Amino acid sequence: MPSALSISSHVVHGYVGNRAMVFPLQYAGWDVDALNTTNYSNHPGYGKFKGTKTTPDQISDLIEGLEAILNVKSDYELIITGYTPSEDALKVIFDRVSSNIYSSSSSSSSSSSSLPSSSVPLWILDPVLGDNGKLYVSEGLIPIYETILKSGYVTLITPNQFEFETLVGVKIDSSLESLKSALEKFHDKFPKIPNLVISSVSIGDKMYSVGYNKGKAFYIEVEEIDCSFSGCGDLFTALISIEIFNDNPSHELTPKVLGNVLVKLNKILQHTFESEKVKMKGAPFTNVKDLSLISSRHVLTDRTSHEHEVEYL
Amino acid sequence: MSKSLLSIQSHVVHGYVGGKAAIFPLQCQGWEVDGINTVNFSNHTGYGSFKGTSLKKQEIEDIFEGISNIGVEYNAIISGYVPNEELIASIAAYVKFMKSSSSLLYLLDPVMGDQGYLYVDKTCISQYKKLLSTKIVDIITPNQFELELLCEKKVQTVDDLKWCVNHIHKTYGVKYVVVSSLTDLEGLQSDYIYCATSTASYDNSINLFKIPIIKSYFTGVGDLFSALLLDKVYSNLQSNSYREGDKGLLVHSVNQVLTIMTKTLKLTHSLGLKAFNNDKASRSSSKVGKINDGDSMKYFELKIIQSREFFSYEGKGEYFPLELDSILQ
Repeated sequence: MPSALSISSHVVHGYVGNRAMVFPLQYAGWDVDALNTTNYSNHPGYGKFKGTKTTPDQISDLIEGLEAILNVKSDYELIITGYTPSEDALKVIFDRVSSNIYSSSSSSSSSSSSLPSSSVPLWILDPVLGDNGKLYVSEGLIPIYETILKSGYVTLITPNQFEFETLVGVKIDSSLESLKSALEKFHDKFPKIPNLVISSVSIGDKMYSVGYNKGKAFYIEVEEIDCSFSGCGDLFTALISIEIFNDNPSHELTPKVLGNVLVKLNKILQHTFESEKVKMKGAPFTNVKDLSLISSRHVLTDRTSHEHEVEYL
Repeated sequence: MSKSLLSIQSHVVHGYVGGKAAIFPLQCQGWEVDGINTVNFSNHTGYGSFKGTSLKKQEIEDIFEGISNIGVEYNAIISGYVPNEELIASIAAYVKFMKSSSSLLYLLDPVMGDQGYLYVDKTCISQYKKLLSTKIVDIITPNQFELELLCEKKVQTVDDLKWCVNHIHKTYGVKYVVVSSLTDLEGLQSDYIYCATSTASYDNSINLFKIPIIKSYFTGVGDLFSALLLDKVYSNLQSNSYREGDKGLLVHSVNQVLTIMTKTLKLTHSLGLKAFNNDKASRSSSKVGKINDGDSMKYFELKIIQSREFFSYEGKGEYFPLELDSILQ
């Protein structure tokens, strides 16, 4: 059975951060160690919430506690990092993860920044910064994420369009050409990241999910639902994590992986949307606060592969 | 129909105790589970080392305020490991408030210790009694030691057991009492663990389940037990097979839960042994989980994820409920 360490936020109520990632992974058969970067009553999308951030010292202690009882290099197949509320917290996570999981144990003179060997866990990182042109964490996190992305330890990142633009320092202006040049700039700036997914990018009047694997880029049209869903990005990262290990020994981001994820995501979002309609009794809404994750759980174990129309850039 | 539940218990990053043992099984059974983590530890204390912190009184009150502010409601609440009396008092106040406006089912697992060993502050005992005296508890699942603490009485004989269970019903108005594990009672065979059930208004009629012991040290068993019990009692009531307060409801539910537990523990034991034997790097010589031995402990964490398909068991149960009085003849 595969094991993952998932580092993200905790909310008592609702499905964002670890609450949107842990259950899908578990239901798909993963043992998930959940390290919570916050302890909030609910997500801020409700307009009000209570609770605390996990302090950098607490995060450091928890990882130290794990190191004492586990072999963190070999006991995990996967490290997932998501919402991290402060610069110090992100620094601590990076320091701990890089020194204890990805640094070579021998004091060899070979390049310390070479790609991790197959015996260490894959690191999938969701650089949670904000959405729709707005940062919801401190600006100071951006350079730390850049450092992490340049470390060579991260296998896959799952930014949204805004996060991608922020990290790369470009704008995608709704054309294929600008997407292409943005991806080239991404590769120039972060040459050690082999895989990238941007869950949705608008090109013309359509939405596409964009995948990138070792210099090759592709995009798949996504069905648009006229509504936003809190926790959708976290769920997407979890689904990608599941699928990249699903009958895919190379763990590369392929069009098949992305296509299968999009089918599952769409089913869960559609189900959530329909549930919300019933709940709202006809009243209009543009945002759903809580994904209907539990009642669409059967989707998570679906292992059928779907054919998709894939375009290459 | 969707059903929602608030789980108030410990969180460990690695392993399956507290919320980690309870929440996933409930989610698999369709529960929308909200989770308050009373502690946030790297792992359970059985490893001999752990890191982490406990929730402070102000923090839990803030959380209660936060979820109240957004109007969350629950069909059930379950509370487990709570490390100190202040937190117990806050939980009591919140549950009482929630019960005043709804018919939610509250299961209290008064986690305090096991086999004569107390692992919470001593002051928790009187605070749990205080909580119980507000008569908000529907189901209680102490082990033998916890029952003794709550009743201030050693449970050595069948009469002691009857007295204590009756005391919980009468003094605290608890409808369903399940003593999750009895290991030391005069007249009972010692190679078994016993589970006792009693429903209010069926005076002195206690049913006993006799469970063969698997020789290994498992953790989180009580937490999984309570979660499954809440699910079964709730769904057996919903399906109208029983009415509230029926004696058969608790006996049937516990039988189902024990059946699931047995499957889960057997799987845990066999997968644990297999992993242990395969892992040549292991330097531990112990073949069963042993307290304070981190090397073997990690192999015998409950296989909660791998047991997923067991949780939906809806059969009659594979155990035979015995009348306490008849078993001793």
